[in-house]
Amino acid sequence: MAFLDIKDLQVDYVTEDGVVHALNGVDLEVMEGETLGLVGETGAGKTTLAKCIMGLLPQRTGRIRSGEIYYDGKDLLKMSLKEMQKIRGAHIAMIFQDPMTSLNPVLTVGDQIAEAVQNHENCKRDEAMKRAEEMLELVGIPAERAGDYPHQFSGGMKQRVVIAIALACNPKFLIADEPTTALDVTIQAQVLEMMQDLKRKFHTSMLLITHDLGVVAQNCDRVAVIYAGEVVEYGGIFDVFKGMRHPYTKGLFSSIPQIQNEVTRLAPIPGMMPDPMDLPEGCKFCTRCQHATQRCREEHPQLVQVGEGHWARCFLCEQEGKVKE
Amino acid sequence: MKRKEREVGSMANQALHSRGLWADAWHRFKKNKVAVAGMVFVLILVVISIATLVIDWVTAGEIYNNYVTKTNLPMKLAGPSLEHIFGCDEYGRDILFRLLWGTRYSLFIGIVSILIALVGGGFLGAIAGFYGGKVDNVIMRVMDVFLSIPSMVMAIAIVTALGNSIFNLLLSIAVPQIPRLARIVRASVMSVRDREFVEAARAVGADDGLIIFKYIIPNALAPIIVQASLTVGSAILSIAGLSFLGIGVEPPAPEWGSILNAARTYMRDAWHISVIPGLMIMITVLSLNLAGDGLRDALDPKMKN
Amino acid sequence: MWKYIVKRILMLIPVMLGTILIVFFIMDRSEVDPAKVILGDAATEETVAELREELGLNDPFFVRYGRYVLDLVQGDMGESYTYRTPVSDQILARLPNTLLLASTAVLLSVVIGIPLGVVAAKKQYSAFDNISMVVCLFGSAAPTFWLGLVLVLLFSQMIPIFPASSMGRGFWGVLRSLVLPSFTIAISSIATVARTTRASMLEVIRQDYVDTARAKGTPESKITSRHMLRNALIPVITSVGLNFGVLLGGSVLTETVFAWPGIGRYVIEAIKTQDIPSVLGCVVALSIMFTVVNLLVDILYAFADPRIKAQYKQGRKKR
Repeated sequence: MAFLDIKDLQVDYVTEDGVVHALNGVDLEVMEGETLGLVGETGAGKTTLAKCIMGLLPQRTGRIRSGEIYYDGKDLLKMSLKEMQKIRGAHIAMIFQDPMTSLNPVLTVGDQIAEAVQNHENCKRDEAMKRAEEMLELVGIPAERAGDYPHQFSGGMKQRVVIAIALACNPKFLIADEPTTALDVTIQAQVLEMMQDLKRKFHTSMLLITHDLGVVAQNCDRVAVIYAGEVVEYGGIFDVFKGMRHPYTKGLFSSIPQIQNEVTRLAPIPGMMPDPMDLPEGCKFCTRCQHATQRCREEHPQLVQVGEGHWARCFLCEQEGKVKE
Repeated sequence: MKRKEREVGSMANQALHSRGLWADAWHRFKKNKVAVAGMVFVLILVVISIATLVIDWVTAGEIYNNYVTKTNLPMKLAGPSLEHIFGCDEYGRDILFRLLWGTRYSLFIGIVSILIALVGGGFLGAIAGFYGGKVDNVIMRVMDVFLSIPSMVMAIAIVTALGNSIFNLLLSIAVPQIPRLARIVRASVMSVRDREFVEAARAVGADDGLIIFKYIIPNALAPIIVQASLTVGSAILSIAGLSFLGIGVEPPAPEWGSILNAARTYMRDAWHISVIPGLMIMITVLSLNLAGDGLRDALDPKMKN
Repeated sequence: MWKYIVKRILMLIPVMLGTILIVFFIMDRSEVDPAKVILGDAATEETVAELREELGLNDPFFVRYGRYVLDLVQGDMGESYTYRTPVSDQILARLPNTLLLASTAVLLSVVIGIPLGVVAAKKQYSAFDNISMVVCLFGSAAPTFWLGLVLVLLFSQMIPIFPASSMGRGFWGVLRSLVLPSFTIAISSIATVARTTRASMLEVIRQDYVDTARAKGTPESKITSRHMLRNALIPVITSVGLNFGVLLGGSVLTETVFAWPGIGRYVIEAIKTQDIPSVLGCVVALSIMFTVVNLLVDILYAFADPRIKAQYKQGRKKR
């Protein structure tokens, strides 16, 4: 059984200029102990999905149109704020994109980690501080620095602190929203490696959001490709990387340089992602797809099984397998 | 203060990038109903002060002498009625007339004093911002010293020492505002000083004065206008305050603050004399603030919430 | 930190000298001849000239300024023409009253303004937010002295619960007489503080670290107090400090309205009797108060924001 099961999740943002359709029926499953990669361009809805799982959609503008997110057999979206607060940090934790802004500048890092502990465990402040120091050591920061403020740390160190906060209560599921995008390349590798170690140590499942296919290749068991608020292809890491089926996925791969084959030019995907306020009726990718037909423009394709646990949302694959209901 | 300077910077940057800044701003301003209402009220006041001046000129002050300043003791402290909708004051003068004829003082002193402050503060701020370094340091330290005297207190000192002629009143309101405006001008000038088009002007041999007036000031204008328009309100409050203390505009001139000063004695018998002129001042300042806020939002939509 | 405070206090000296120079210069423009005022109308030209010489009024400006500063350091602000007593005595007798009024007003603006701003920001666009912000707009546009008059009309004449003027006796008497004048001064600064707090909270509410705090399961009340307010307060502190100047100016007007025996009322009295040394003394005293409050605000600021505190620590290391 799936550890976290997202069913037909549709999320809008209601803004002054109109309704932004951020997620348009996302179905995803995360298995126990696995790392699922979520890949897509900026604005594809990756962060919205993460925030939706955490119950952190902007209150005023965010609106969940439909869908369920089952965790441990219960629908997170139907939970009260109180119940959600018990889940956040203790069961599901999140690592944010930009370590520079995700720490509170006026509290010491020790305090910020200890707060996570105190939120879920009935313990005294000094016990929580001790745990905070242990967590710091765990992410490779000397315990003495617990009394320092965020501005006294470098970007990479800050992200380690953010990770320490996320893992402080030993959560079963970790959402990492582009955890290394804001970091230098050398630091990126270190942080990712550390996350992998900790994940194995604590036996945590993870949703790793990124736009970097290299990161996915190194860290994930399965991968889902998201485009304009829709999962267009997902499957095991080897299946997708070796036998990608959706034109968008192919485009993603051909737009990154590969060292082994000499190419004179990269092939970027032409055009731009469609305006999320005014999405095409049929396939969301039809405006940029070189295979697009009249049918693609009119009819919305369903996910089609193209291999063992490998699905793609494209009419081109229709003959190959059964349509997901 | 830091944040304000950053806001100013971003406003100045915007001024550079969009050619139709003023047209855009006007378009956005029009959509802000509250700000438009504020501006309409201010315009009405301007019309009233001009109209009353014209009336005085045409009638050779007859209306002014007969209705605004002439005592009419039978109507002393009369409450609001159909004939005198705002009632009469302690000399039986119609308050509505006095308020209308008093508009010119608040508006004139408010606007002119801020213009004076703008010239003074603009000059000092532009020099400080343009040259930077030591010049900047000296000017801004002196401005800091000026800022350490509460503005109302400085205004009182100036009027006490120099007397309360109109010019001195203008000065007493303007001087305390100079450092505030200088800071804003300095920040905007600094944000445009090193832009490419200034470099280009310098490269073709334009002198400093030309660069400041032709290139820097126009591009730094938006935040300065916003700040100045927001300051007019506080200038009107200051002048009313001085008149209320009896050291501003002299009676029998119908300045709003001095009507309130006289009203104090008769508060027990005639509430309307103390309430109505104050409402007038409040609504005027409110309108100016709303229009100024609207102007700021219109000129820099990014700052809005 | 102590070094920073000491340094700031030392930096105060040139600022104060400058402040006094400006005030002294302004008051020196006065046409009033102190010798004439002291001797009265009956005095002859000769005796006036004699007294002028004796008082050193014929000395160059900077000599007189230097003398004033030296005297001031020794606590001598000259003699009041009206009272024939040292100005410093007059000021010291009234200073506590002005301080009481001003600090009550600051307290009110903080205690009312900050919660108002916080609630308005947390419920942005709600009826509470809209109504309280409209009230604040009116509050900051209303002339202080007029608010005083209106409060007297309402709470002293229509519903006589508070005295309309002067200071009461005994703790409760003082407290009762403090209510109207302190609210009069505080209203505009409550409005400013509430508006600043709201704007600053709205900025903080959107920060990523608030999401971080939520993501670790922190209860909403704790997020507001610990994560939002702590950060939002930093600009509010500055605003309260700057507002203190407006508040002191307001106290001059308010003390006049309520016949409150403070420095503000004294200065107006002195202006009417052309008592120049008293006016000078009061303006200097009010300016010094303002400067000292701003120093306190700066120090408080450093305590509230570890980034600023750290700057000074680093500065010390470098030296």
